[in-house]
Amino acid sequence: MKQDRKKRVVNIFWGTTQQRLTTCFVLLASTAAQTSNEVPPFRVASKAFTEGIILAECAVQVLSHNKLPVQHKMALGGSRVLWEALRAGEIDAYAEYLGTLQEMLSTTHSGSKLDDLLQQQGLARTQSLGFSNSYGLAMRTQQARRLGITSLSDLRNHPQLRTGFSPEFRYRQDCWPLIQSTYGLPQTASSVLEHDLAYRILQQKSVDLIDVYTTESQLAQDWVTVLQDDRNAFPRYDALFLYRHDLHHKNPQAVATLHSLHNQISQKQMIALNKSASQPGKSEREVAQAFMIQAGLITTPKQLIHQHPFWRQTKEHLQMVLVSMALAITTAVPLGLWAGNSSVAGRLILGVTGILQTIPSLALLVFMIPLLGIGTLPAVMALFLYSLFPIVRNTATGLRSISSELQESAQVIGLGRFARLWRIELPLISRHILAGMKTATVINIGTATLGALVGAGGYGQAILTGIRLNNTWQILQGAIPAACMALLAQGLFALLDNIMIPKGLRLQERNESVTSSHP
Amino acid sequence: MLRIENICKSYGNLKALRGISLQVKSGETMALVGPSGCGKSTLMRLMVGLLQPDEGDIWFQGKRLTVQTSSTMRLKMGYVIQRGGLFPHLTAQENATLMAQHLGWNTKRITQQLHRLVTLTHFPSNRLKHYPAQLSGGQRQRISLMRALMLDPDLLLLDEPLGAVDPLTRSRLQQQLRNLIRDLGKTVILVTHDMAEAEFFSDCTVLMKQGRIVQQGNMKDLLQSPKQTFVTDFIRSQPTASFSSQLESA
Repeated sequence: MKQDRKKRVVNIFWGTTQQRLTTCFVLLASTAAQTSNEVPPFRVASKAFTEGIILAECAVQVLSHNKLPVQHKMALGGSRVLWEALRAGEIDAYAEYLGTLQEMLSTTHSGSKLDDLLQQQGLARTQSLGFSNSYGLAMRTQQARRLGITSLSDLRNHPQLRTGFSPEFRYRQDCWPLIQSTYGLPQTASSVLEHDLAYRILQQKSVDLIDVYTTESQLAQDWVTVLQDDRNAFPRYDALFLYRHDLHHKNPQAVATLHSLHNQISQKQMIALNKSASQPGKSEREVAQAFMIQAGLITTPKQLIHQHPFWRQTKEHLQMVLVSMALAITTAVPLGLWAGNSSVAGRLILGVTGILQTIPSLALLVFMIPLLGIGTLPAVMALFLYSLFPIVRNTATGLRSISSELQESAQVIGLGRFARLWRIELPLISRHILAGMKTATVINIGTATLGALVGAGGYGQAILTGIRLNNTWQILQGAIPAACMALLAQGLFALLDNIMIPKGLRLQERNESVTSSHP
Repeated sequence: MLRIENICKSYGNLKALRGISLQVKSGETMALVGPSGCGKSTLMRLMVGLLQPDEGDIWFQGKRLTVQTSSTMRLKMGYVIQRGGLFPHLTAQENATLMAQHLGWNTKRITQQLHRLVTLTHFPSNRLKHYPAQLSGGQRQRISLMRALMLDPDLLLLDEPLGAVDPLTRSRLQQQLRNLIRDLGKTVILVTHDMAEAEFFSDCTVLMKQGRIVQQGNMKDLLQSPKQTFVTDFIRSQPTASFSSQLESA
């Protein structure tokens, strides 16, 4: 019975990730469901790539197995976004790498000094989860065996090997320059290539040595071998959990559970996990759960909660678009009317909204983070600002295009300012306003895919994951629904045109088009 | 009814009106005539308060017309704008009754007044639910007239009322409009560029040129004792010698 209740709580939170605007509803529903348990759910977040999501799922599985209420804020964004969110207390924990953590704190320390620095930020960390996702060098297994190469030191005797490095690896000081000097390697880093293509080019024998991330799924293949870093030259990127320091007394059980994951996942296991999650139809949750059961970290095989991300993403996407559009319309139409009536205010309003439009959407989203944190709110705010201009401009243009004859007509029969606006001007410019709304909505739906970068979810999540995994199918799973939604919106506005634009105006337009086509 | 005292109005450097004084008596029909650009339309727009004069005053029913008073005074003036100025998104009936609806008249009163005006203007009542785009030029003009008369104004202002109507319907409409003006017994001021039309409608014709009144009186005065050669020249330059002679020859 108690177990049932818990499941329902988890259910609710999984169903509605990171949607601040529905938080109230969620809180109401969860308090209704969790009468006995007063602890707020532990918020585990994940970076927007497979390994990050799998690690967070592992934590979620074990936490909920220990009967702790937990919530997974899935694929919130990059390291910087999660770091800030954790410091701001918007999330409780996420999986990070030692090297990245050191970068964030601008330090090279790894021991207790690092813990001190973390504590100054109000944060703490677990020990390594058991693997390091660092840089490495890989060769074709066959060639390595033939030449007897197993470690980086062995490369010294084979200057003829051709390298194909990613730009980052080639030029970062802690990558190739460091390795080359540490091991005294004779190879030249001549060709630089995109990492996404590296495995294919290695397999085609166009190069012999590529740089890899030591847990990526491609390494599960037998034909490729990672060379041993026998002098430990590469920086350590041990996976660990970062969490808020105050949880030590607020939720000690959860902290203890996170620490229990120390040394539970080996390099090989992580590669395998990444590989299974990259297969179509496998969710990170299923992969993580299977692993946790196999590893004996959770015992009761919980029923899989299978919710296809499509519906969640659709809901998130729609929510972002609808809320931001509703706000934009209620703001932009009055602004447009104002701009259309006064030339000074008009220039100012059109200028400001126009400038907002020229800010790259990505930049605008990022600007929102320090102001509004992460999640749906900053995305909605950015989309709102983005949608203003087309509506303002069309409304103002429409108002100015009303013939002086009709304006005088309205004035002279004795209608007051508000009555003129309501009875005459708004109906007359309905087509302009609707056209502005249509443009804004279509742009909005497209731009909302970027919302995933700040943790608002939506179709952008599929696109982002797809880009990171170089998985075209995954990208299309986000791109196609977004395009369909834009098309649907266009269709909807065509319908609205017929409902909202007064019949008399449509008849007039038809007459005008007939007379203009038959002069 | 309406008194105009020494009105001046400029648009930038252009002096549209240079000292106009005029008086319209109750029940009188007056025509403002002159070549285009003479200031006759400007004068009419000043009368309804669409423009404010630079100098001089306008008195309507004993009260001075100002920005503040013009909105209430407008309800006592019916103005038929050039080309009709009908709202394309409203039906004929909605156009005519818009102001009455806005003022909160009850349905019965509106219907009664509408039917009175339909009869008066000879508007086909089966077309009341049509939109302006579906009506002929003449029908649109009648709706425009109905709209101006809806609130039963004391003063009716007509700015080129038949300007947008084709010549054939025009003669028929002129006749009907004259009868209507006569039946109404209201004070009417009419702007036209057509001397014949002015003569046909009005008791008194005001001939204007470059922002000034050249001569005022009935057609006979103007023809027999012109104050300037311009008066005779203008009358001679009219394409049709007179509307009535055209009718006779037909």
